[in-house]
Amino acid sequence: MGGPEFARQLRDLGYQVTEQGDGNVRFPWEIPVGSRVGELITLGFTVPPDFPVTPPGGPCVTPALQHPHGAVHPAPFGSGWVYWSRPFPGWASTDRTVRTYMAHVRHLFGQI
Amino acid sequence: MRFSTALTAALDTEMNEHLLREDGQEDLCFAIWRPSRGRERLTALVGDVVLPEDGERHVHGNASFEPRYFLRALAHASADGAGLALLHSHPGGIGWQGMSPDDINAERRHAAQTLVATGLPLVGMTVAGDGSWSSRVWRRTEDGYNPDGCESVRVVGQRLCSSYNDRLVPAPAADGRLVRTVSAWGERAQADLARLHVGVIGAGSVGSMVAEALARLGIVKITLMDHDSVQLHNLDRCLHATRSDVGRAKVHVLRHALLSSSTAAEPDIRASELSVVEDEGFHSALDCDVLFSCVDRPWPRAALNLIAYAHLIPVVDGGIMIEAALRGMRGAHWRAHIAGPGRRCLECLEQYDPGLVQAEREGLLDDPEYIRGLPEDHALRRNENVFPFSMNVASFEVLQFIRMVVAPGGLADVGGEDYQFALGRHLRDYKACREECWYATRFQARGDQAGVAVTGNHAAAQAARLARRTRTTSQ
Repeated sequence: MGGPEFARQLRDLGYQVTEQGDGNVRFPWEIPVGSRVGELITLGFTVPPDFPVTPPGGPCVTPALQHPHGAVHPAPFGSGWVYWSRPFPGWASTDRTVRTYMAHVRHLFGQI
Repeated sequence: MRFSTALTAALDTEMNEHLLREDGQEDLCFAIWRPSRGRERLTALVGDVVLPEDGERHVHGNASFEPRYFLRALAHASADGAGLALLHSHPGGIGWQGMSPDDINAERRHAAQTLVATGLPLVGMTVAGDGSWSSRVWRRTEDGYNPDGCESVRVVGQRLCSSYNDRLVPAPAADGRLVRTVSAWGERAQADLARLHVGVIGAGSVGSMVAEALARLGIVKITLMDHDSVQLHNLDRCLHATRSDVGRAKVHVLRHALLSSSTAAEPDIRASELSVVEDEGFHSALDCDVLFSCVDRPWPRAALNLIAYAHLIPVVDGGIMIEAALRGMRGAHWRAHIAGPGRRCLECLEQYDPGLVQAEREGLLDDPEYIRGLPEDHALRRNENVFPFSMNVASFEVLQFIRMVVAPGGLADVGGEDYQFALGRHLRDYKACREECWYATRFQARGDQAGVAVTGNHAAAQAARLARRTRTTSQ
Protein backbone atom coordinates (compact mmCIF):
# COMPACT_ATOMS: atom_id res chain seq x y z
CA MET A 1 0.00 0.00 0.00
CA GLY A 2 0.96 3.65 -0.17
CA GLY A 3 3.98 5.08 -1.96
CA PRO A 4 5.80 1.78 -2.62
CA GLU A 5 2.72 0.27 -4.27
CA PHE A 6 2.16 3.41 -6.38
CA ALA A 7 5.83 3.31 -7.46
CA ARG A 8 5.64 -0.39 -8.29
CA GLN A 9 2.65 0.10 -10.55
CA LEU A 10 4.31 3.08 -12.23
CA ARG A 11 7.37 0.95 -12.97
CA ASP A 12 5.13 -1.78 -14.37
CA LEU A 13 3.81 0.89 -16.76
CA GLY A 14 7.36 1.66 -17.84
CA TYR A 15 8.10 4.85 -15.91
CA GLN A 16 11.50 5.61 -14.36
CA VAL A 17 10.42 6.28 -10.78
CA THR A 18 12.31 7.90 -7.90
CA GLU A 19 10.90 7.27 -4.45
CA GLN A 20 11.72 10.11 -2.06
CA GLY A 21 10.26 8.60 1.10
CA ASP A 22 7.21 9.88 3.00
CA GLY A 23 5.09 8.63 0.13
CA ASN A 24 6.58 11.10 -2.38
CA VAL A 25 7.39 9.71 -5.82
CA ARG A 26 8.46 11.47 -9.03
CA PHE A 27 9.26 10.53 -12.60
CA PRO A 28 9.92 12.15 -15.97
CA TRP A 29 6.85 12.37 -18.21
CA GLU A 30 6.15 13.52 -21.75
CA ILE A 31 2.88 15.46 -21.95
CA PRO A 32 0.69 13.41 -24.32
CA VAL A 33 -2.22 15.85 -24.85
CA GLY A 34 -3.24 19.48 -24.86
CA SER A 35 -1.42 22.67 -25.83
CA ARG A 36 1.88 21.45 -24.39
CA VAL A 37 1.90 18.04 -26.06
CA GLY A 38 5.38 16.60 -26.43
CA GLU A 39 7.01 18.67 -23.63
CA LEU A 40 9.11 16.72 -21.14
CA ILE A 41 8.30 17.56 -17.52
CA THR A 42 8.61 15.83 -14.16
CA LEU A 43 5.51 14.67 -12.31
CA GLY A 44 5.46 14.11 -8.57
CA PHE A 45 2.85 12.66 -6.25
CA THR A 46 2.39 12.62 -2.51
CA VAL A 47 0.85 9.18 -2.28
CA PRO A 48 -1.52 8.61 0.64
CA PRO A 49 -0.44 5.83 3.01
CA ASP A 50 -3.63 3.90 2.25
CA PHE A 51 -3.31 4.01 -1.55
CA PRO A 52 -5.05 2.49 -3.47
CA VAL A 53 -7.99 2.82 -1.07
CA THR A 54 -7.67 6.61 -1.51
CA PRO A 55 -5.85 8.31 -4.42
CA PRO A 56 -3.37 11.18 -4.42
CA GLY A 57 -4.90 14.65 -4.27
CA GLY A 58 -3.43 15.64 -7.61
CA PRO A 59 -0.13 15.93 -9.53
CA CYS A 60 2.88 18.04 -8.59
CA VAL A 61 4.54 19.50 -11.66
CA THR A 62 7.91 20.96 -12.59
CA PRO A 63 8.39 23.28 -14.43
CA ALA A 64 5.70 25.14 -12.46
CA LEU A 65 2.92 25.05 -15.02
CA GLN A 66 -0.33 26.75 -14.02
CA HIS A 67 -3.71 25.10 -14.55
CA PRO A 68 -6.50 27.27 -15.99
CA HIS A 69 -8.99 26.08 -13.34
CA GLY A 70 -6.86 27.30 -10.44
CA ALA A 71 -6.35 25.42 -7.14
CA VAL A 72 -2.57 25.51 -7.69
CA HIS A 73 -0.53 25.40 -4.48
CA PRO A 74 3.08 25.14 -3.32
CA ALA A 75 4.34 21.57 -3.67
CA PRO A 76 6.32 19.48 -1.16
CA PHE A 77 9.03 18.77 -3.77
CA GLY A 78 10.79 22.12 -3.40
CA SER A 79 11.13 25.30 -5.42
CA GLY A 80 10.21 25.15 -9.08
CA TRP A 81 7.30 22.81 -8.37
CA VAL A 82 3.58 23.46 -8.05
CA TYR A 83 0.77 21.19 -6.82
CA TRP A 84 -2.48 20.93 -8.76
CA SER A 85 -5.13 19.94 -6.22
CA ARG A 86 -7.49 17.90 -8.39
CA PRO A 87 -9.39 15.20 -6.47
CA PHE A 88 -10.25 12.17 -8.61
CA PRO A 89 -14.06 11.98 -8.88
CA GLY A 90 -15.63 8.54 -8.52
CA TRP A 91 -12.45 6.73 -7.44
CA ALA A 92 -14.45 4.09 -5.54
CA SER A 93 -16.11 2.85 -8.73
CA THR A 94 -12.81 2.37 -10.59
CA ASP A 95 -10.27 -0.47 -10.41
CA ARG A 96 -8.14 1.80 -8.17
CA THR A 97 -4.97 1.33 -10.20
CA VAL A 98 -2.22 3.76 -11.16
CA ARG A 99 -3.11 3.18 -14.82
CA THR A 100 -6.59 4.57 -14.10
CA TYR A 101 -5.15 7.41 -12.04
CA MET A 102 -2.80 8.41 -14.88
CA ALA A 103 -5.81 8.63 -17.21
CA HIS A 104 -7.12 11.31 -14.82
CA VAL A 105 -3.74 13.09 -15.00
CA ARG A 106 -3.83 13.01 -18.80
CA HIS A 107 -7.31 14.51 -18.70
CA LEU A 108 -6.00 17.39 -16.53
CA PHE A 109 -3.22 18.15 -19.00
CA GLY A 110 -5.72 18.05 -21.81
CA GLN A 111 -7.33 21.09 -20.18
CA ILE A 112 -4.23 23.32 -20.47
CA MET B 1 -5.59 -5.37 28.83
CA ARG B 2 -9.22 -6.48 28.49
CA PHE B 3 -10.41 -9.02 25.94
CA SER B 4 -13.40 -9.57 23.70
CA THR B 5 -14.27 -11.59 20.62
CA ALA B 6 -16.25 -10.72 17.51
CA LEU B 7 -17.46 -12.54 14.42
CA THR B 8 -19.82 -11.89 11.55
CA ALA B 9 -23.37 -13.19 11.54
CA ALA B 10 -22.58 -15.19 8.40
CA LEU B 11 -19.72 -17.00 10.18
CA ASP B 12 -21.90 -17.51 13.25
CA THR B 13 -24.48 -19.26 11.08
CA GLU B 14 -21.83 -21.40 9.37
CA MET B 15 -20.30 -22.50 12.65
CA ASN B 16 -23.62 -23.15 14.37
CA GLU B 17 -24.67 -25.44 11.52
CA HIS B 18 -21.68 -27.60 12.43
CA LEU B 19 -21.54 -27.19 16.22
CA LEU B 20 -25.23 -27.31 17.20
CA ARG B 21 -26.02 -30.80 15.95
CA GLU B 22 -29.49 -32.16 15.36
CA ASP B 23 -28.67 -35.19 17.52
CA GLY B 24 -27.92 -32.89 20.47
CA GLN B 25 -24.32 -34.05 20.97
CA GLU B 26 -21.37 -31.73 21.46
CA ASP B 27 -19.13 -30.99 18.51
CA LEU B 28 -15.99 -28.98 17.86
CA CYS B 29 -13.98 -27.23 15.19
CA PHE B 30 -11.08 -24.82 14.75
CA ALA B 31 -11.12 -21.32 13.30
CA ILE B 32 -8.58 -18.60 12.68
CA TRP B 33 -8.68 -15.16 14.29
CA ARG B 34 -7.01 -11.80 13.76
CA PRO B 35 -6.29 -9.16 16.39
CA SER B 36 -7.99 -5.79 16.72
CA ARG B 37 -5.99 -3.85 19.33
CA GLY B 38 -7.61 -0.86 20.98
CA ARG B 39 -6.05 1.24 23.70
CA GLU B 40 -7.49 -0.94 26.45
CA ARG B 41 -9.02 -3.95 24.75
CA LEU B 42 -7.81 -6.73 22.46
CA THR B 43 -10.56 -8.20 20.33
CA ALA B 44 -10.15 -11.54 18.59
CA LEU B 45 -11.87 -11.22 15.20
CA VAL B 46 -12.81 -14.75 14.24
CA GLY B 47 -12.40 -15.35 10.51
CA ASP B 48 -12.32 -18.54 8.49
CA VAL B 49 -13.54 -21.77 10.06
CA VAL B 50 -11.42 -24.90 9.57
CA LEU B 51 -13.92 -27.75 9.59
CA PRO B 52 -12.77 -31.28 10.39
CA GLU B 53 -12.15 -33.78 7.62
CA ASP B 54 -13.16 -37.43 7.92
CA GLY B 55 -11.65 -39.10 10.96
CA GLU B 56 -10.17 -35.91 12.38
CA ARG B 57 -12.71 -35.55 15.18
CA HIS B 58 -14.89 -37.96 17.12
CA VAL B 59 -18.35 -37.37 18.54
CA HIS B 60 -19.33 -39.50 21.50
CA GLY B 61 -21.69 -37.36 23.56
CA ASN B 62 -18.69 -35.10 24.03
CA ALA B 63 -16.22 -34.46 21.21
CA SER B 64 -12.48 -35.01 20.75
CA PHE B 65 -10.01 -34.53 17.92
CA GLU B 66 -6.94 -36.10 16.39
CA PRO B 67 -3.56 -34.32 16.62
CA ARG B 68 -3.44 -34.08 12.82
CA TYR B 69 -6.59 -31.88 12.83
CA PHE B 70 -4.99 -29.47 15.30
CA LEU B 71 -1.75 -29.40 13.27
CA ARG B 72 -3.60 -28.80 10.00
CA ALA B 73 -5.58 -25.93 11.51
CA LEU B 74 -2.43 -24.55 13.15
CA ALA B 75 -0.58 -24.59 9.82
CA HIS B 76 -3.49 -22.76 8.22
CA ALA B 77 -3.45 -20.06 10.91
CA SER B 78 0.33 -19.71 10.83
CA ALA B 79 0.43 -19.43 7.02
CA ASP B 80 -2.17 -16.66 7.21
CA GLY B 81 -0.30 -14.80 9.96
CA ALA B 82 -3.38 -15.33 12.13
CA GLY B 83 -4.22 -16.90 15.48
CA LEU B 84 -6.02 -20.15 16.20
CA ALA B 85 -9.35 -20.62 17.99
CA LEU B 86 -10.77 -23.89 19.31
CA LEU B 87 -14.55 -23.93 19.41
CA HIS B 88 -16.97 -26.42 20.89
CA SER B 89 -20.63 -26.59 21.80
CA HIS B 90 -22.71 -27.08 24.94
CA PRO B 91 -26.04 -27.93 23.29
CA GLY B 92 -27.94 -28.01 26.57
CA GLY B 93 -26.50 -24.73 27.79
CA ILE B 94 -28.03 -21.28 27.99
CA GLY B 95 -26.06 -18.02 28.09
CA TRP B 96 -22.38 -17.56 28.91
CA GLN B 97 -20.79 -20.98 29.54
CA GLY B 98 -18.24 -22.09 32.07
CA MET B 99 -15.67 -24.77 31.32
CA SER B 100 -15.59 -28.39 32.48
CA PRO B 101 -12.24 -29.96 33.52
CA ASP B 102 -12.17 -31.72 30.11
CA ASP B 103 -12.73 -28.38 28.32
CA ILE B 104 -9.90 -26.81 30.29
CA ASN B 105 -7.49 -29.66 29.64
CA ALA B 106 -8.26 -29.76 25.91
CA GLU B 107 -7.55 -26.06 25.48
CA ARG B 108 -4.61 -25.84 27.90
CA ARG B 109 -2.82 -28.77 26.19
CA HIS B 110 -2.68 -26.82 22.92
CA ALA B 111 -2.05 -23.31 24.22
CA ALA B 112 1.76 -23.43 24.21
CA GLN B 113 2.16 -24.86 20.72
CA THR B 114 -0.37 -22.38 19.36
CA LEU B 115 1.51 -19.42 20.83
CA VAL B 116 4.85 -20.65 19.52
CA ALA B 117 3.55 -21.35 16.01
CA THR B 118 1.41 -18.25 15.52
CA GLY B 119 2.74 -15.69 18.00
CA LEU B 120 -0.85 -15.22 19.15
CA PRO B 121 -2.62 -16.85 22.11
CA LEU B 122 -5.09 -19.68 21.67
CA VAL B 123 -8.69 -18.45 21.88
CA GLY B 124 -11.24 -20.89 23.26
CA MET B 125 -14.92 -20.44 22.42
CA THR B 126 -18.11 -22.21 23.44
CA VAL B 127 -21.54 -21.90 21.87
CA ALA B 128 -24.55 -22.71 24.01
CA GLY B 129 -27.78 -24.24 22.77
CA ASP B 130 -29.46 -20.82 22.64
CA GLY B 131 -26.70 -19.48 20.36
CA SER B 132 -24.89 -17.51 23.08
CA TRP B 133 -21.12 -17.50 22.77
CA SER B 134 -18.50 -17.38 25.49
CA SER B 135 -14.77 -17.02 24.99
CA ARG B 136 -11.40 -16.80 26.70
CA VAL B 137 -7.81 -16.06 25.76
CA TRP B 138 -5.09 -18.47 26.92
CA ARG B 139 -2.15 -16.44 28.12
CA ARG B 140 1.17 -17.56 29.44
CA THR B 141 1.61 -16.66 33.10
CA GLU B 142 4.15 -17.49 35.79
CA ASP B 143 2.41 -20.77 36.57
CA GLY B 144 1.76 -21.90 33.01
CA TYR B 145 -1.10 -21.23 30.62
CA ASN B 146 -4.33 -19.90 32.07
CA PRO B 147 -7.53 -18.53 30.56
CA ASP B 148 -8.39 -14.83 30.69
CA GLY B 149 -12.13 -14.53 30.27
CA CYS B 150 -13.35 -12.27 27.49
CA GLU B 151 -15.84 -9.60 28.50
CA SER B 152 -18.16 -10.25 25.58
CA VAL B 153 -18.62 -11.89 22.22
CA ARG B 154 -20.41 -9.81 19.60
CA VAL B 155 -21.97 -11.25 16.47
CA VAL B 156 -22.18 -8.52 13.85
CA GLY B 157 -24.59 -8.58 10.94
CA GLN B 158 -27.90 -6.98 10.25
CA ARG B 159 -28.48 -7.56 13.95
CA LEU B 160 -25.90 -6.94 16.68
CA CYS B 161 -26.10 -9.81 19.19
CA SER B 162 -23.78 -9.68 22.16
CA SER B 163 -23.15 -12.34 24.80
CA TYR B 164 -21.75 -10.98 28.04
CA ASN B 165 -19.53 -12.49 30.69
CA ASP B 166 -21.69 -11.58 33.69
CA ARG B 167 -18.75 -12.06 36.02
CA LEU B 168 -16.73 -9.34 34.27
CA VAL B 169 -19.57 -7.19 32.89
CA PRO B 170 -22.60 -7.71 35.13
CA ALA B 171 -25.98 -6.47 33.93
CA PRO B 172 -26.38 -2.93 35.31
CA ALA B 173 -29.32 -2.45 37.63
CA ALA B 174 -32.04 -0.25 36.15
CA ASP B 175 -33.52 2.00 38.82
CA GLY B 176 -36.81 3.89 38.87
CA ARG B 177 -35.59 6.36 36.27
CA LEU B 178 -35.65 3.64 33.59
CA VAL B 179 -39.01 2.05 34.41
CA ARG B 180 -40.72 3.34 31.26
CA THR B 181 -37.74 2.48 29.05
CA VAL B 182 -37.43 -1.07 30.38
CA SER B 183 -41.16 -1.64 29.99
CA ALA B 184 -40.76 -0.97 26.24
CA TRP B 185 -38.45 -3.89 25.55
CA GLY B 186 -37.81 -5.81 28.75
CA GLU B 187 -34.96 -6.22 31.21
CA ARG B 188 -32.91 -8.57 29.01
CA ALA B 189 -32.83 -6.14 26.06
CA GLN B 190 -32.10 -3.24 28.41
CA ALA B 191 -29.20 -5.14 29.97
CA ASP B 192 -27.77 -5.91 26.52
CA LEU B 193 -28.13 -2.29 25.40
CA ALA B 194 -26.73 -0.79 28.58
CA ARG B 195 -23.57 -2.90 28.54
CA LEU B 196 -22.48 -1.84 25.05
CA HIS B 197 -19.54 0.55 24.99
CA VAL B 198 -20.74 3.22 22.56
CA GLY B 199 -18.46 5.81 20.95
CA VAL B 200 -19.81 9.12 19.62
CA ILE B 201 -17.35 10.51 17.09
CA GLY B 202 -18.15 14.19 16.72
CA ALA B 203 -19.72 16.25 19.51
CA GLY B 204 -21.47 18.83 17.36
CA SER B 205 -25.16 19.27 16.69
CA VAL B 206 -26.00 15.65 15.85
CA GLY B 207 -23.39 14.11 18.15
CA SER B 208 -24.51 16.04 21.22
CA MET B 209 -28.10 14.90 20.75
CA VAL B 210 -27.11 11.30 20.04
CA ALA B 211 -25.02 11.28 23.21
CA GLU B 212 -27.89 12.74 25.25
CA ALA B 213 -30.20 9.97 24.01
CA LEU B 214 -27.63 7.28 24.83
CA ALA B 215 -27.14 8.66 28.34
CA ARG B 216 -30.86 8.72 29.01
CA LEU B 217 -31.20 5.20 27.61
CA GLY B 218 -28.94 4.06 30.44
CA ILE B 219 -25.88 3.19 28.34
CA VAL B 220 -23.15 2.94 30.99
CA LYS B 221 -19.98 3.47 28.97
CA ILE B 222 -19.93 6.30 26.41
CA THR B 223 -16.80 7.69 24.76
CA LEU B 224 -17.10 11.19 23.27
CA MET B 225 -14.47 12.15 20.70
CA ASP B 226 -14.00 15.57 19.09
CA HIS B 227 -10.92 17.80 18.76
CA ASP B 228 -12.91 20.99 18.27
CA SER B 229 -13.88 23.89 20.52
CA VAL B 230 -17.32 25.40 20.99
CA GLN B 231 -17.69 28.42 18.67
CA LEU B 232 -20.31 31.15 18.68
CA HIS B 233 -21.92 29.77 15.51
CA ASN B 234 -22.41 26.35 17.23
CA LEU B 235 -24.75 27.75 19.88
CA ASP B 236 -27.92 27.45 17.79
CA ARG B 237 -27.45 23.67 17.53
CA CYS B 238 -25.06 22.13 20.04
CA LEU B 239 -27.02 20.75 22.95
CA HIS B 240 -25.86 22.03 26.38
CA ALA B 241 -23.35 24.53 24.91
CA THR B 242 -23.92 28.14 25.96
CA ARG B 243 -22.18 31.46 25.42
CA SER B 244 -19.95 30.91 28.45
CA ASP B 245 -18.61 27.68 26.83
CA VAL B 246 -17.19 29.38 23.74
CA GLY B 247 -13.54 28.34 23.44
CA ARG B 248 -13.94 25.21 25.57
CA ALA B 249 -13.53 21.69 24.21
CA LYS B 250 -16.91 20.40 22.97
CA VAL B 251 -16.38 17.00 24.55
CA HIS B 252 -15.87 18.40 28.05
CA VAL B 253 -18.96 20.60 27.83
CA LEU B 254 -20.99 17.60 26.70
CA ARG B 255 -19.52 15.17 29.21
CA HIS B 256 -20.31 17.49 32.09
CA ALA B 257 -23.95 17.66 31.00
CA LEU B 258 -24.29 13.93 30.35
CA LEU B 259 -23.14 13.08 33.86
CA SER B 260 -26.37 14.76 35.00
CA SER B 261 -28.57 13.37 32.21
CA SER B 262 -27.39 9.77 32.52
CA THR B 263 -29.79 7.26 34.01
CA ALA B 264 -27.00 4.69 34.54
CA ALA B 265 -26.27 3.96 38.19
CA GLU B 266 -22.54 4.47 37.62
CA PRO B 267 -22.02 6.19 34.26
CA ASP B 268 -18.56 5.93 32.69
CA ILE B 269 -18.48 8.85 30.24
CA ARG B 270 -15.11 9.62 28.68
CA ALA B 271 -14.11 12.73 26.79
CA SER B 272 -11.35 12.56 24.18
CA GLU B 273 -10.03 15.71 22.50
CA LEU B 274 -8.56 13.61 19.72
CA SER B 275 -9.68 12.98 16.19
CA VAL B 276 -10.49 9.43 15.10
CA VAL B 277 -7.90 9.87 12.33
CA GLU B 278 -5.15 10.38 14.90
CA ASP B 279 -3.52 7.12 15.94
CA GLU B 280 -4.49 7.32 19.61
CA GLY B 281 -8.06 8.36 18.73
CA PHE B 282 -8.38 5.52 16.24
CA HIS B 283 -7.31 2.98 18.84
CA SER B 284 -9.69 4.47 21.43
CA ALA B 285 -12.50 3.92 18.93
CA LEU B 286 -11.48 0.24 18.69
CA ASP B 287 -12.36 -0.15 22.40
CA CYS B 288 -16.02 0.48 21.50
CA ASP B 289 -18.71 -2.01 20.45
CA VAL B 290 -20.69 0.50 18.36
CA LEU B 291 -19.68 3.88 16.95
CA PHE B 292 -21.80 6.86 15.93
CA SER B 293 -20.27 8.81 13.05
CA CYS B 294 -21.36 12.40 13.74
CA VAL B 295 -18.73 13.95 11.47
CA ASP B 296 -19.10 15.52 8.05
CA ARG B 297 -15.60 15.17 6.65
CA PRO B 298 -14.24 12.50 4.27
CA TRP B 299 -11.11 11.46 6.21
CA PRO B 300 -12.82 10.47 9.49
CA ARG B 301 -15.63 8.81 7.54
CA ALA B 302 -13.07 6.75 5.62
CA ALA B 303 -11.46 5.72 8.93
CA LEU B 304 -14.84 4.79 10.41
CA ASN B 305 -15.76 2.82 7.30
CA LEU B 306 -12.61 0.75 7.73
CA ILE B 307 -13.40 0.19 11.42
CA ALA B 308 -16.92 -1.01 10.58
CA TYR B 309 -15.71 -3.81 8.30
CA ALA B 310 -12.13 -4.59 9.29
CA HIS B 311 -12.76 -4.42 13.05
CA LEU B 312 -16.43 -5.54 13.10
CA ILE B 313 -17.65 -2.44 14.96
CA PRO B 314 -20.95 -1.23 13.43
CA VAL B 315 -20.94 2.48 12.57
CA VAL B 316 -24.18 4.46 12.74
CA ASP B 317 -23.94 7.40 10.33
CA GLY B 318 -26.12 10.08 8.85
CA GLY B 319 -26.10 13.49 7.26
CA ILE B 320 -28.10 16.57 6.35
CA MET B 321 -28.30 18.41 3.03
CA ILE B 322 -30.13 21.74 2.93
CA GLU B 323 -31.02 23.28 -0.42
CA ALA B 324 -30.95 26.96 0.39
CA ALA B 325 -32.16 29.40 -2.26
CA LEU B 326 -31.81 33.13 -2.70
CA ARG B 327 -35.37 33.53 -1.43
CA GLY B 328 -36.19 31.04 1.28
CA MET B 329 -35.38 27.35 1.33
CA ARG B 330 -36.00 24.93 -1.54
CA GLY B 331 -35.85 21.86 0.60
CA ALA B 332 -33.73 19.61 2.76
CA HIS B 333 -33.19 15.93 3.28
CA TRP B 334 -31.37 13.87 5.80
CA ARG B 335 -30.27 10.28 6.09
CA ALA B 336 -29.43 7.67 8.70
CA HIS B 337 -27.96 4.21 8.15
CA ILE B 338 -25.55 1.71 9.65
CA ALA B 339 -22.34 0.49 8.04
CA GLY B 340 -21.10 -2.98 8.92
CA PRO B 341 -21.10 -6.58 7.71
CA GLY B 342 -24.35 -7.36 5.94
CA ARG B 343 -25.02 -3.67 5.28
CA ARG B 344 -23.95 -1.08 2.72
CA CYS B 345 -20.70 0.71 3.49
CA LEU B 346 -20.25 4.46 3.74
CA GLU B 347 -18.24 4.60 0.52
CA CYS B 348 -20.92 2.76 -1.49
CA LEU B 349 -23.55 4.97 0.19
CA GLU B 350 -21.49 7.94 -1.16
CA GLN B 351 -21.36 9.42 2.31
CA TYR B 352 -17.81 10.50 1.50
CA ASP B 353 -15.66 10.89 -1.58
CA PRO B 354 -12.37 8.94 -1.26
CA GLY B 355 -10.90 11.39 -3.76
CA LEU B 356 -11.15 14.14 -1.11
CA VAL B 357 -9.49 12.25 1.74
CA GLN B 358 -5.98 13.26 0.68
CA ALA B 359 -7.07 16.91 0.33
CA GLU B 360 -8.24 16.79 3.95
CA ARG B 361 -4.98 15.12 5.07
CA GLU B 362 -3.14 18.03 3.41
CA GLY B 363 -5.21 20.55 5.37
CA LEU B 364 -6.89 21.96 2.29
CA LEU B 365 -10.42 21.42 3.61
CA ASP B 366 -9.58 23.80 6.47
CA ASP B 367 -8.22 26.42 4.02
CA PRO B 368 -10.96 29.01 3.33
CA GLU B 369 -9.34 29.92 0.02
CA TYR B 370 -9.42 26.32 -1.16
CA ILE B 371 -13.07 25.97 -0.13
CA ARG B 372 -13.96 29.19 -1.96
CA GLY B 373 -12.40 27.75 -5.11
CA LEU B 374 -14.76 24.75 -5.11
CA PRO B 375 -17.98 24.84 -7.19
CA GLU B 376 -20.80 26.70 -5.45
CA ASP B 377 -22.93 23.58 -5.12
CA HIS B 378 -20.07 21.46 -3.73
CA ALA B 379 -21.04 19.66 -0.51
CA LEU B 380 -18.05 21.15 1.32
CA ARG B 381 -19.31 24.68 0.67
CA ARG B 382 -22.67 23.89 2.24
CA ASN B 383 -22.66 24.59 5.96
CA GLU B 384 -26.30 25.37 6.58
CA ASN B 385 -27.89 23.53 9.47
CA VAL B 386 -30.86 23.90 11.79
CA PHE B 387 -31.39 22.50 15.30
CA PRO B 388 -34.65 20.62 14.54
CA PHE B 389 -33.03 19.01 11.48
CA SER B 390 -30.09 17.81 13.58
CA MET B 391 -32.57 16.62 16.21
CA ASN B 392 -34.38 14.51 13.62
CA VAL B 393 -31.17 13.03 12.18
CA ALA B 394 -29.96 12.20 15.70
CA SER B 395 -33.24 10.47 16.49
CA PHE B 396 -33.11 8.46 13.24
CA GLU B 397 -29.57 7.40 14.04
CA VAL B 398 -30.42 6.36 17.61
CA LEU B 399 -33.47 4.47 16.35
CA GLN B 400 -31.30 2.65 13.79
CA PHE B 401 -29.01 1.68 16.69
CA ILE B 402 -31.86 0.49 18.92
CA ARG B 403 -33.40 -1.50 16.08
CA MET B 404 -30.06 -3.21 15.37
CA VAL B 405 -29.78 -4.35 19.01
CA VAL B 406 -33.38 -4.87 20.14
CA ALA B 407 -34.80 -6.05 16.79
CA PRO B 408 -38.48 -5.19 17.46
CA GLY B 409 -40.73 -7.83 15.97
CA GLY B 410 -37.58 -9.64 14.84
CA LEU B 411 -36.63 -6.81 12.46
CA ALA B 412 -33.08 -5.53 12.97
CA ASP B 413 -32.56 -3.82 9.63
CA VAL B 414 -35.00 -1.78 7.57
CA GLY B 415 -32.26 -0.34 5.36
CA GLY B 416 -31.01 3.21 5.25
CA GLU B 417 -33.53 5.98 5.87
CA ASP B 418 -33.83 9.17 3.84
CA TYR B 419 -36.31 11.85 4.90
CA GLN B 420 -37.29 14.56 2.44
CA PHE B 421 -38.35 17.53 4.52
CA ALA B 422 -40.26 19.61 1.96
CA LEU B 423 -42.41 16.67 0.84
CA GLY B 424 -42.63 14.97 4.22
CA ARG B 425 -41.56 11.74 2.50
CA HIS B 426 -39.63 8.94 4.15
CA LEU B 427 -37.65 6.71 1.78
CA ARG B 428 -35.73 3.49 2.35
CA ASP B 429 -32.45 2.30 0.83
CA TYR B 430 -32.03 -1.47 0.71
CA LYS B 431 -29.13 -1.65 -1.73
CA ALA B 432 -26.02 -3.67 -0.95
CA CYS B 433 -22.43 -2.66 -1.52
CA ARG B 434 -21.08 -2.61 -5.08
CA GLU B 435 -19.79 -5.99 -6.19
CA GLU B 436 -16.24 -4.59 -6.33
CA CYS B 437 -16.47 -3.01 -2.85
CA TRP B 438 -13.23 -3.59 -0.99
CA TYR B 439 -14.69 -2.99 2.47
CA ALA B 440 -17.28 -5.76 2.30
CA THR B 441 -14.79 -8.24 0.84
CA ARG B 442 -11.03 -7.94 1.28
CA PHE B 443 -11.06 -5.90 4.53
CA GLN B 444 -13.78 -7.72 6.45
CA ALA B 445 -12.63 -9.09 9.86
CA ARG B 446 -8.95 -8.41 8.99
CA GLY B 447 -8.51 -6.12 12.01
CA ASP B 448 -4.96 -4.86 12.48
CA GLN B 449 -3.96 -6.95 9.45
CA ALA B 450 -6.20 -5.05 7.03
CA GLY B 451 -3.01 -3.35 5.85
CA VAL B 452 -4.64 0.07 5.48
CA ALA B 453 -3.01 3.08 7.14
CA VAL B 454 -5.83 5.56 7.72
CA THR B 455 -4.34 7.64 10.53
CA GLY B 456 -1.90 10.52 10.40
CA ASN B 457 -1.09 13.99 11.68
CA HIS B 458 -4.21 16.14 11.92
CA ALA B 459 -2.99 19.73 11.85
CA ALA B 460 -6.39 21.27 12.64
CA ALA B 461 -6.86 19.01 15.67
CA GLN B 462 -3.39 19.84 16.98
CA ALA B 463 -4.01 23.56 16.45
CA ALA B 464 -7.36 23.42 18.26
CA ARG B 465 -5.88 21.70 21.30
CA LEU B 466 -2.95 24.12 21.38
CA ALA B 467 -5.30 27.11 21.17
CA ARG B 468 -7.27 25.82 24.15
CA ARG B 469 -4.12 25.22 26.17
CA THR B 470 -2.85 28.69 25.32
CA ARG B 471 -6.22 30.21 26.23
CA THR B 472 -6.21 28.36 29.56
CA THR B 473 -2.65 29.45 30.36
CA SER B 474 -3.31 33.09 29.60
CA GLN B 475 -6.50 33.26 31.72
